[in-house]
Amino acid sequence: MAASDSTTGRGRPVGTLKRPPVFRGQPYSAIVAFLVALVVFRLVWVDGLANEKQANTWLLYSVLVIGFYFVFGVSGQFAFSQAAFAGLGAYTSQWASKNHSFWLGLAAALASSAVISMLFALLVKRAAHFYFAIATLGVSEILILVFEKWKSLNGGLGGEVTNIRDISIFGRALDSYGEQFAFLLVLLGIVMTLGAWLERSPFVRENIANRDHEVVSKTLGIPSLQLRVTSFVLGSVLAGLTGACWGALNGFIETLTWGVELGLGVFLMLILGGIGSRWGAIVGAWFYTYIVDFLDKAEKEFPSLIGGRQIVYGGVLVIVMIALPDGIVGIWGRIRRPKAGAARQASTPNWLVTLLGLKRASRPEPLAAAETEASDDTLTDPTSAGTAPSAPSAADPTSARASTAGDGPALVADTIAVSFGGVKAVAGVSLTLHQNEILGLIGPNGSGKSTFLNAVNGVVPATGSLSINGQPVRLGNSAGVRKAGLLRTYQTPQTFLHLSCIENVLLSTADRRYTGIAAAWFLRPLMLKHEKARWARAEAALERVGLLDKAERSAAGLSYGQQRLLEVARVIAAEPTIILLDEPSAGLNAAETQILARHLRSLRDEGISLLVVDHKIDFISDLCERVAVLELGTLVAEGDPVTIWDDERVINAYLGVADDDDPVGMDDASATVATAATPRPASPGSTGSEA
Amino acid sequence: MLEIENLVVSYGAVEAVRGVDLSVSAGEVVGLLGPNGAGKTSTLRAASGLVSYGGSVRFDGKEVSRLGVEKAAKAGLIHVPEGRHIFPTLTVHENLQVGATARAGRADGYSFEEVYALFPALAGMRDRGGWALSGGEQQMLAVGRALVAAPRLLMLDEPSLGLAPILVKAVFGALRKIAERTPVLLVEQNTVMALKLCHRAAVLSGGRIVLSGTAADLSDRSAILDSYLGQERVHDAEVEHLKA
Repeated sequence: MAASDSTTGRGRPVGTLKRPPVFRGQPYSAIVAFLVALVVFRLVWVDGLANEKQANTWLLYSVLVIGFYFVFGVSGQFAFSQAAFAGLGAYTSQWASKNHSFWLGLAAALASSAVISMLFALLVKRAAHFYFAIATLGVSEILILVFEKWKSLNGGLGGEVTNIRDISIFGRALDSYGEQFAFLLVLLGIVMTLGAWLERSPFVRENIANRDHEVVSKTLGIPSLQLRVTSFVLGSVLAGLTGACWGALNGFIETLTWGVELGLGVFLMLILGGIGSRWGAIVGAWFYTYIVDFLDKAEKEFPSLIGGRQIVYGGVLVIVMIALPDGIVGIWGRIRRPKAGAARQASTPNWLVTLLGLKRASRPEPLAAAETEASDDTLTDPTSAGTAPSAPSAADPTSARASTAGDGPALVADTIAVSFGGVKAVAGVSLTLHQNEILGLIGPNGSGKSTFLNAVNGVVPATGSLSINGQPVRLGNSAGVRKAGLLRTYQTPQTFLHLSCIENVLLSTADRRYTGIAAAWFLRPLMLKHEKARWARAEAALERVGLLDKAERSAAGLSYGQQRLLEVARVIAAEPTIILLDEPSAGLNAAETQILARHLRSLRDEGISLLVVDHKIDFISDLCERVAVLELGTLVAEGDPVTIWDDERVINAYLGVADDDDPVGMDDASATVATAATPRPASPGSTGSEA
Repeated sequence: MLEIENLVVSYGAVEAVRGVDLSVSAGEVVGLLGPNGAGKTSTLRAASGLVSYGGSVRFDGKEVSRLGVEKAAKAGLIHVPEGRHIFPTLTVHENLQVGATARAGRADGYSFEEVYALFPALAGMRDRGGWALSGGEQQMLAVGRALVAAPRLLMLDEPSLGLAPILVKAVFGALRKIAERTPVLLVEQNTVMALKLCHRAAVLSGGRIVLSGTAADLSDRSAILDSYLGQERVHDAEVEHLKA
C-alpha cells in the first residue's frame, strides 16, 4: 500500500492495525470447547430421569434465548413474542409431522414462524420501543388463542396435543434423553456457529448502529427497516425451531407453555445471563432452568419455607441485577479487565439503561462530554504529515470520486420550507452549492441553519425541491440523498458509542456489497474480501483526521471535539460528492480549527463540494469563497465574506457591534443581551439602540 | 473554597486527568484552558462529583466524593455542564424553579427577577418550552438556572460553545456581571474571552497543568500560551475583526 510508509504524528501508519475483528479470534474453538464441556457435564453430573430431562430443557431454552439475543440484545426490539413463536413452531410442527416425518414438521415450523413474524414486523414497522412491545403482546395473545381454538391444528382437545411424533434420524427415533441431548448438542453447535458468523460480519455492527440511532443510520445508507425485520425474523425462526423440537422431544404440548410467563422468562434469561453476548443467553438459560428447580427442591426439604420460594427467587434476581448489571457473563469481561474500547464485547447495555430511564449513579458515564486521553496532536496537520492529499494512495477512495460529480451545481435547494407546528423554522430558502465550492452558512442561533440541513438531508418533513449533481431527489428520502453522494455531520456529534471508532467509520463505507445475513452465512469469502477493503478505507479516513491510533477504542471514550472528527472521518469514508458540516469547529480551539480548515480545503481540492455552518468568523472567512446568511428562517444576505461582514443586517443580528475598548465587559452588557437574544422581530421594543 | 489536589480521573484504562492541583478562593475567577481532550471537562465533572476520581477535591474542606453530587450542589457548588442540558419539557420559568432546589436556604442567591434582568431575552419567554429555545437562549437559561441555586462557586463548561458571535459577547457580558458577585471556575476554548474575564488561569495539556498564572501574565506570554494550546501561533482574527 502506497500510504504505508506515511505516519501521522505519533499515530501508526495505515495498514498496520490488527486484522478486522471478522478475521480475528478463535470462535470455533470456543464453541467446540463449550460443546465438549457440555458432554462432560452430561456424563459426570447428570443422572436420573428428572435431571436428564432438565439438561435437555436447558439446551432448548438456550436456543430460544440465542434467538432472542438477536431480537433484543443486538437489534434492541422489545419483543414479548418469543415464546408465542416457539408455540407456533410446536403446533405447526406436530400438525405437519402427523402423517410424515419430524423433518417435514420442522420445515413447516421454520416456514410458518418466518412468514408470520415477517408479516407482523412489516405490519408494525412504524412502532418503536414500548409500542412495539405492546404489539408483540397482542400477537402472542392471538397466536395462543389460535392454538387453543383451531381444532384441525390442535386435534380438538383445547390445545393439548399428545403423541407427537419423535425426532427420527435415518429411521431411528430419539426416544432416550441421552440421544435427545446429543441431538440438542448438535443443534446448539449449529446455532452458535451461525451466530458467530453473524458477529463476524457487518450484520451485528449495523444492527447496533440502527438500534442506537436509526435516523443517523439511515443517512449513512444502512437499510434500517430491512435490518430490523431480518433480526426479528431470525429470532422468531429460532423460536419456531425450539418449539418444534420441544414438542417432538416431550411428545406433548399445551398452550400454557407459550404464554407471557415464558415470554417474560426469555427477557429474564437474557438480561440475567448478559444481554451483550450469545453466551449470556446460554448462561441465563442455565440459571432459569436450574435455580428455579433448586428452589423447588429446597422447598420440599424445608416445608417451613413454603411460599418463600418466590421471595428467594425474586431476591436473587434483584441482587444479580444490582451486582451484575452486565449479566453473569459480565463477570468474565471484568476479570479480563477490558481495555478501553474493546467495548462491544464487554458491552454494558447502556442503551437499555437510557431507554428505560435507569441510571447507574456511581459509575463514570463515558458520554460525549467525557474528555479522555490527552493528545497534543488531536488533529493531524495534513501539510506536515506525510499523507499529502495531492498524492492519493491505492487505498484512497478519492481518485475515483471527482468523476462521479456531475455537471452543473452540486446542490440546488429550491424554496425549502420547514414548519414545526405553527412556527416556520425555515421559510422558503433557496440555496445553490456549486461544484468544488466551500459555501458558508451563518446566522444567529435559532435562525434555521440546522433545520435547513435536516431538511436537505431528509430527516425532517419539508417542502420545496432538491437536486443533487443535476439529479432531482425527493425531499424526505434520506437514503436517496445518501445514494446521490451527500453526507453530513451533526451539530451535536452523532457517533455510535457502543461501537469502536473504526466500526463507526465502517458503517458509512460506500461499498455495501455482502453486508447482509445471507453473505455472512453463505458467501463468507466474498464478505471477508469486501470487509478487508472497507477496513482499509476506514483506516485511511481515520488517519486523515488523526484518530487512527484510537481506531479500536470505543467511540464513547472520545472528547467532544474528537467525536466531531470521527464524524468527519465517517463522512470521508463514504466517498461523498457533497458534505454538509454543522458547526464542525465547535469544541476545537483556534489551532485545531485551522487544521480542520486545511482538511476541508483538501477535500474540496479532491472535488468535493462543502456547505459549512459555523460560528467562528475567522474560520468561515478563511475557508469560504461565498457566505450565505440566514435569519428567522430566510436568506437575508449572500456574498463573499468581506462584503457579508460589512452588511448592516449581519452586524446587527449576528456579529454584534464592535467595541474598541472592552469587547467583553461592555457597560451596557445587559442591553446587548437583549438585542442579541431577541432576533425574533416580535419584540421591537428591545432592539439595540443603546448600543 | 475549592481545593483540588493531585486529581486523577480515568475512564477504564484511559487516564484523562493525571494529577491536577488547582484551587479557587472566595471572590476569584479562575479559567481552565487547554486543547481538545486535555482533561478540562473531566476535571470539572470530578469537581462536582459526577465522575469518580483519585486524589482529593474539597469544597469548604469537605470531600466532594463523600458529599455526593446532590449534597455538593446543595452546598453551593453549581456546575453548568457542556451542552447546557436544560429540561426540554419544562418551560423557561419551570427550569429556573428547578434550579432553586439546590438553593438550600441560602439567602444570597439570585432571584428569578434578577436572572431575568441579567438575561432580558428570557424574560419575554417565561412560558416557552425548553425544547423551543435556540442555542443561545438555552445557554442563558442554563446559567440562569445555576444562579437561582445561589452558587457559592459557579463552574461553567464552555459557555460559548456553538453560539453566534453576538451571543458569545452577550453571554460573556453577563458572566462579567456575575463574576463581580460569585466566584467562577471557567472552562473555555475561547482563550481571549476567557482571559479577559478571569483573574487567574491554568492551562491543561495531556491531563496535567502545564502553565498557570494571572490572566495578565498569561496574556503577556501569549506565545507560550499558544504553543500549549496549539501547534502554532494563531491570530485571533475574530477579535481583530471586531476591533476593526
